[in-house]
Amino acid sequence: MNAVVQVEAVRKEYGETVALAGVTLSIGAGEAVAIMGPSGSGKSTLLNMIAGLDRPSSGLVTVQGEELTRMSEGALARYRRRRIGMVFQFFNLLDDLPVLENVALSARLVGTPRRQARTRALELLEELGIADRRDAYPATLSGGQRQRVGVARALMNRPALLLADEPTGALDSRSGEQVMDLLLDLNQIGQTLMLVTHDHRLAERCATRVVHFADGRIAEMEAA
Amino acid sequence: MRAVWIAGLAAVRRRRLQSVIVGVVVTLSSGVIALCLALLSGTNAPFDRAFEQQRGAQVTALYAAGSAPGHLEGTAGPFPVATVRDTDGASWRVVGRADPGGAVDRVAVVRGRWPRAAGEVVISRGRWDPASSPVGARFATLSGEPALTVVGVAVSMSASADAWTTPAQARALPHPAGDQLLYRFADASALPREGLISTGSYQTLRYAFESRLSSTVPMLVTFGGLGLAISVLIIVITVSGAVISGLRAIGVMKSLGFTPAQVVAVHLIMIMVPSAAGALAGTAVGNALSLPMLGDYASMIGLPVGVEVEYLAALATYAGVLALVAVTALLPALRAGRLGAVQAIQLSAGSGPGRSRTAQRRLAGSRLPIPLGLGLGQPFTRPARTALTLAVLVVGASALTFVGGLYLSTDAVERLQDRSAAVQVSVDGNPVPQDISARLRALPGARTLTAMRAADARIEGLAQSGILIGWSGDMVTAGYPLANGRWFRGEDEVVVPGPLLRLTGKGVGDTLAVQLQGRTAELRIVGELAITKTEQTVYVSGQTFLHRNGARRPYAYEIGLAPDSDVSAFLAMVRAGGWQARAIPRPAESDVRTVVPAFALVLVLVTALGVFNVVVLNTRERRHELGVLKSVGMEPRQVVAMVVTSVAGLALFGGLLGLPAGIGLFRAFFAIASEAGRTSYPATIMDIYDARMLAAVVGVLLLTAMLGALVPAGWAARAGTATVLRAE
Repeated sequence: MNAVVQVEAVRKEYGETVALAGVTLSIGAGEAVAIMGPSGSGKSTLLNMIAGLDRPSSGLVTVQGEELTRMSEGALARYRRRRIGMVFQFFNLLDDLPVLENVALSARLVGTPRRQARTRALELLEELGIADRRDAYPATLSGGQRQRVGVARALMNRPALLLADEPTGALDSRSGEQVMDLLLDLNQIGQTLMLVTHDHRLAERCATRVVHFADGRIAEMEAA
Repeated sequence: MRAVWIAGLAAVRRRRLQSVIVGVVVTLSSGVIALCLALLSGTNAPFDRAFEQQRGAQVTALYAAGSAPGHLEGTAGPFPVATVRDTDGASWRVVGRADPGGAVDRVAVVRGRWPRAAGEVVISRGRWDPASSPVGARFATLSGEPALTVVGVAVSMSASADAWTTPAQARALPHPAGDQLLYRFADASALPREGLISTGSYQTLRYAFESRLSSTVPMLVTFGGLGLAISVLIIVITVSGAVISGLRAIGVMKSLGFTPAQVVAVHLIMIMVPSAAGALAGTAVGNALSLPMLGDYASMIGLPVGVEVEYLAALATYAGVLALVAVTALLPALRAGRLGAVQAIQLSAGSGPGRSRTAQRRLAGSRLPIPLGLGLGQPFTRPARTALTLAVLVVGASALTFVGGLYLSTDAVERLQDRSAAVQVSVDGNPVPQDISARLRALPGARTLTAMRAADARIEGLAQSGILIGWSGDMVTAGYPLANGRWFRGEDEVVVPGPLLRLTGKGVGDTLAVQLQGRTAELRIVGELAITKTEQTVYVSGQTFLHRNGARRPYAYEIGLAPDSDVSAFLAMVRAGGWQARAIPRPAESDVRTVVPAFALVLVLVTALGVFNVVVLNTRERRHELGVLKSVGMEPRQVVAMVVTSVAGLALFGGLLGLPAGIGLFRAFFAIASEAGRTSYPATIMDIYDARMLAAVVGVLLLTAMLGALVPAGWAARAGTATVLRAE
C-alpha cells in the first residue's frame, strides 16, 4: 500500500511544553485513520503538522511525496489547496458568503474559472443533499448542514487526503450520524481520511485503524 | 472602584498592540493638531503683535542733517542716514545706530551681530541676499564706496533702514541723506516741520505686510484646517475601533458581574491611559516642531522672530485631544455597556446585524480573482468605519489636490513673472546719444528692444498720483501676464493693473480718464494686468504716450536677450559702453515651494497612518476569517493582495470624490487670496489641473493607502493559522 502520509520522528515544542515527542506514523492510500486521545495529548498538533498549518520542531512530514517541513508559507498554501481538504469541528465557514461561494472558494483560490468552480460546488452540494440551501448564509443553517458545507468545501479540489478535526464534536447525535455516514461513504469510494476525534463511535464506524495518543506519543495502535 | 482600575490597567497591558496603536495615533494626531494650531495662531494679526513687541515706530521721519529736533520722549534718534549704491546700482538707505534696542523700533538681529566698529554693516532681512552677501562677506557696493563687511541680518517692523552701521561709519559714508527720527505716535502733523524732508507711516507698512499675507493666511488656514480634520477623523476611527474590538472583553466582564457603568469605566481607562501619554508626547513634539516651522513662516512673511509657543494653547490642545478621545470612546462604550453579555460577544465576532452582505457576495462571486473580490467587499462589513476611512481619504485627496494645484500655480506665477532673460539699461538723468536704440539693438545677443517712458498722471479712481508708462519698439509682454483682455495695439488703448479695476469698478472695454499735464485723455481699457499688487501704474503704447504727453526721453531701455545668452557678459558689454545696466532678477522663489511639499509629506504620512490603523483593526477583527482562508489554501501573497485591495478600492473611490473638493478648495483659496490681495490671476492659473495631475493625485493617494495597508497585511499573512482556528 502506498503511503499518502509519512510522519517520521516528529517533535513539536512550544517553549517548555512538548506537544509531540517524536511521533512516527504512516497512512496508506484509501485508509481511514482515527487519532484519539485526551485533550492536550498532541493529536490536533499532529493534524496541524500534516495540514501544513504548523511546523515541527524536528522530524519530517511527507504527504504524497512532498516534504512539508522545508516548504515556504506560499508553497504550504498551494499544498493545502492541491493535496488536502480540511473539515473543522466548528465548521469555519465564512459568515459573509453564501453556501455556494463558501464551497467554491478553495477552487477559486487555485484559479479555477468562476463558472467551473460553481458547477463543481453545486455538484458537491447536490451529492451531500444541501443544494437547496446554496444561497443561504451559514448562520441560517443547522449544525449538520454547516458541516456538510464544510465537507463539500474540503472535497472541492479532489484532495488526496481529507483531514477532519472533531467533525462531529459540535453536532447533535442525529447530525453527527449523518456526518459519519458521509465520511464512511467517502472512504468507501477511496478517499483517504485522517480523523482527530474523541468520539469512539465515529472511530469505530469510520476508521480502518485507530491510533491512540497520550502525552505527545503514540500509546497504542489498533485495527478497527 | 479598585476592581475597575485593576481591570482597566490589565486591559492596557493585555491589549498591548492596541494600546500602542492608540498611543501612537494620539501622539501623531496631537502633534499634527498642535502644529496646525500653531500655524493658525501665526495667522492672527502677526503684524500688530510683532510691531508691539518691537515697539515699532509709527512715524519714521527724515530731517536734513543737523535739523532734527533733539531727543524727545517716545522717540528714537536722531540717527545719521546715508545712501549707498550696490554693484547693480540699487540704492540702500544705511542708518547709523549704536545699538538695536531703545524706546522705539527695537530692531531684531536674526543672524550674526550688531555692528561694533566702522566698516561693519547689518543688512535688513527684506533686502538680504544670502548668496551675494553672506554674513562675514564684503558688502557688494559700487567701486568708490567704502568697503563694508556684513556682520549680521536684522528685521525692523518699522522698515527703518535697508542696512545699519555704526553712527560714525554712517556719517563717514559719501552720500549723507539726513537724520532719522522714529516716533511712537500716529499723527505725522505733530512733527516739528523745520528741516523735515520726508515721513513714513507704519500704516503703509502694515498695508504692504497684509497685502503680502493675502495668500499666506488662507493657505495656512486651509493647511491647518485640513490637518485638523484628518487628525480628528483618525482619532475617532482608532478609538471607536478599539472599543468595538473590545466588545468580547465587555461581554466577558458583564458575565463576571460588572455593571454597565463599570464596563464603561474599564473601557475608558483602557483607552484614556495610552491616549493621555500620547497626547502629552504629541503636544510637546508638535509644539517643538512648530518652532522651526514658525521661524520659517516668520521669515517668509517678514516677522523678526517666530511666533512663540503659547503654553495656554498647548494645554488647550492637550485637553481638547483628551476630550475628543473620551467622547469618542464614551459613545460606543455606553452602547456596549447596555448590551447583554452574549450579544456583546456575538457582535465582537462580527456576526451582529447591520452588516451588508449583498456587495460582498456579488464581489466574491464576480469574475475578479477571489482575493480581489473578497478585498473589495470587505469595506461593506463595517459601514461606519468605512465611512470614516473614506472621509480621511476624501480629505487627504482634497488636500493633495489643493497642495498640488498650489505648487503648480506658484510655479506658473513665477514663470509668468520671469523677466530674467532681459536686462534693463537705465538712461534716466544721463546724456544719451541720439542713436542709442540702434547701438543697443546692435549688441550681440540683443533680440528685442523696448524704450520705456514714464510720466506722472492723475488716474481716475486713484487718490494719489499715478504713473503712465509708455512702451515703444518691441513689446515686453513676457513677465507681464494679463488676467483679461489683450495688450494695446492702437492709440488710446490702455492696460491697467487688476487692483485699479477693482478700485474703480471698471472692466476691460470701459474707458479710463487719465489726466496728463492738465489735459484729460479717455483711454480704452483693453487689458487687465495680472498678479501685480500695485494699482497706480498703467501702460500704453509709446505712440499714445508721446501723443498724450508730448516728447519725453525714455528713462530706460529693456533689452530682451536671445535664448541661452550669458546675461553677465551682456551686462559687462553694456556697462563697457558707459551705461548703467542691471539684470532683471528672477522672481524670488516662493516659500510656498518648500512649505507645500512639507505639508504634503505630513499629509501623506497622516493619511497612511489612518489607513494603517484601519487595516490593523480590520485584520485583527477578521483574524478568524483570515485563518479559514489560509486553511483552505490562500497564499500569503493572496492574503496581502486581499488586505491591500480592501483599502485600495476605498482609496480610489475616496480619491475620485476628493478631486472636485480639492479643486473647489483651490478655486475658493484663489478667490479669497485674490480678494484679500486685490490681485487678479490669469485663467491659466485657475485651470492648472489637467488629467495627468488629477491622475497623479489619485495615484499618490492609492499608493499612500496601499503602503499604509502593507505592513498590517504582512502581519496578517504571517499570522499563525492553527491557533486562530482552534481558539474559535
